[in-house]
Amino acid sequence: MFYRLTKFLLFTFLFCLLGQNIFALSDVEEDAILRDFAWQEFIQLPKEKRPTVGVTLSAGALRGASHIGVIEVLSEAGLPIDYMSGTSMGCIVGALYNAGLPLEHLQDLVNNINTSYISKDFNIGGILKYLFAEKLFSSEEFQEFIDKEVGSKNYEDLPIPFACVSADIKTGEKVVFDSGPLSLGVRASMNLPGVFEPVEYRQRLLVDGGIVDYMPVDLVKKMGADFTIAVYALPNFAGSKPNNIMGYVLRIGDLRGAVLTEDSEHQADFVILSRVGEIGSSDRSKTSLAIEIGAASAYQELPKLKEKLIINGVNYVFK
Amino acid sequence: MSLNKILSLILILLFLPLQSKAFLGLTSRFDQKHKITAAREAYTNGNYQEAIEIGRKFLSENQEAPKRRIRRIYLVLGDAYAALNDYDHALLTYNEALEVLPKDVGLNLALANLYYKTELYDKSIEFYNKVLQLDDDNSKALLGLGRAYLKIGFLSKSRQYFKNYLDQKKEKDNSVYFDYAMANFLSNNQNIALEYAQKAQKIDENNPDIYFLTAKIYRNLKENEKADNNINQALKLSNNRDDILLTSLLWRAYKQETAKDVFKEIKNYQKQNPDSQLAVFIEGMSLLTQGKKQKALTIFRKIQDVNEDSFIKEITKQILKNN
Repeated sequence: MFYRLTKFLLFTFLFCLLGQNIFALSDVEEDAILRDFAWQEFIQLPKEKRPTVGVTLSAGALRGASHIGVIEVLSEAGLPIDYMSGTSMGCIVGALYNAGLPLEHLQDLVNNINTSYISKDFNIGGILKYLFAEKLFSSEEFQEFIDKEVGSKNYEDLPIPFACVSADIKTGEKVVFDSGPLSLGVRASMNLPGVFEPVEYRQRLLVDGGIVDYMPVDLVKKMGADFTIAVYALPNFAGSKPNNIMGYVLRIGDLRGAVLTEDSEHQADFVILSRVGEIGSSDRSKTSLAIEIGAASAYQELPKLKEKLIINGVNYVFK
Repeated sequence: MSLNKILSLILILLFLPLQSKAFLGLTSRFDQKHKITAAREAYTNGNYQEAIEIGRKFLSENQEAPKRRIRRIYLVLGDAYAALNDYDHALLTYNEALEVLPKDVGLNLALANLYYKTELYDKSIEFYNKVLQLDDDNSKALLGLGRAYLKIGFLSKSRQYFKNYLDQKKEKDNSVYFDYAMANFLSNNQNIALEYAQKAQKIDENNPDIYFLTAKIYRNLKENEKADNNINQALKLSNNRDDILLTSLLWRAYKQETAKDVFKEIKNYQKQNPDSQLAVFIEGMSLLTQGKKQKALTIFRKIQDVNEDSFIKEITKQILKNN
């Protein structure tokens, strides 16, 4: 102990003699000081004096609940969101957030999600028809549910320009909703093929957009975003086998999604991966955990995201 | 020999084995208590290794001991390992204890606290939640959850648990006020953050971190004079701690009225910290604010000569590229 103390004192004395600060900050600590300072300046800039930001939320069924955690972290950090897009669960979360639902309420909704919110056919009769009469479930209830939550809003009423993706099962085309009734586009975007009846709309038969564009980064770019952030609820299928028909349908979506997102990830300026792979796509008991993982993943990436944005807007921050 | 005596003798002979068993049990209980006390005393006196040895021996020799004693010895063992910074063994010990006593609040809490200490925040959240399932208003678990969620950045949950804790506990605790203020500051709830930072200041007037946080809150609220007063107080109390000093200089370098003074101060700082890239950046920044653009760019070029990649280097690279 005495030896250690003597060594420490001698060390301190020598450094003091040389006039150096032995408690100097590391590069990482210095970076953090500048980042915190510059970020506060950046977020106070008016929209026209900084790069505009677009956020895209991926599909991912109930894993996509993680988007709520991500949005919370981004908005509490003061990130200005100028444009948004989403597919399937990403569309639901984006639409409800954008329509002004408090994040706490959104968390409650997802954590207490009930099949009756989605379809009136989720009962014995409906299941028998599905199995023996090959009649798909209706998702009309879901549209009513969205209308009830947001008060029959249109896309044009949203404070942040928003678009979501659906697919025409007849032609394989990508159908973008960015105007008209919000609830219709949201329903079409999450309308799982093989489970729900396609939504008939303007000569089209619409199903879940995840099969054509799992993470529509291009939409926010087209809307005018200078800087795009893609949020991906990462699936993990390594070694696991789906437990039921729904599991298989969702797995196909995830596999297709994994291929499609490769391109979207390259298009984005920044990607936040929510590591929710261990959570099943239809596991209702783990939505709360998914939200938590989303928040933690975004918070971990936040310093890097701030740095990238500040560098993009450097001329405005350091005039 | 009378019949009474014979009967008494028979009775004594009949009960003798039971009595001896009871006697042995009594000595065994006494021995167990003695060992637990010895382990606890060794721990209290800082003889952690001795406490561990007693504890391990106890567990190997007294597998049938009552659960309350096993619990006590596991707690001593876990605490002793943790005191020696042997967190792997401490975690193993508490986990082992929970296999025997899965519904023990104290053990779940000890494990949650240890996970928090070892920065395994998701696991600490899991075990704090288990504590709340067993004891729904356990204040230590509420506080632990507030802090763990603050660490992982799930701030709405963090604020919620801190609030529950503060509603429940009436006594003043400056560290909780500080953490709650921090959770609100990071969530951009600056008014609540200020309220609790000031509460923390009232309890501890000599804590530079509280003044530093208060200064940042005031700056976000655009009350620059109050921000400056608080950061100056933080500097005074911390004897010019580097992070506070550089933040203060950066703020002043960005302001027209103070940029000139910063230039001299940062030069002094650089004498003691020749490797500080941020100091060079602040020097350049103060020149830029004074309108001396070319001189500022010359200073920024110095940062480009440094080998290590950093955010500061990237920022200056971009500034130079755009000019």
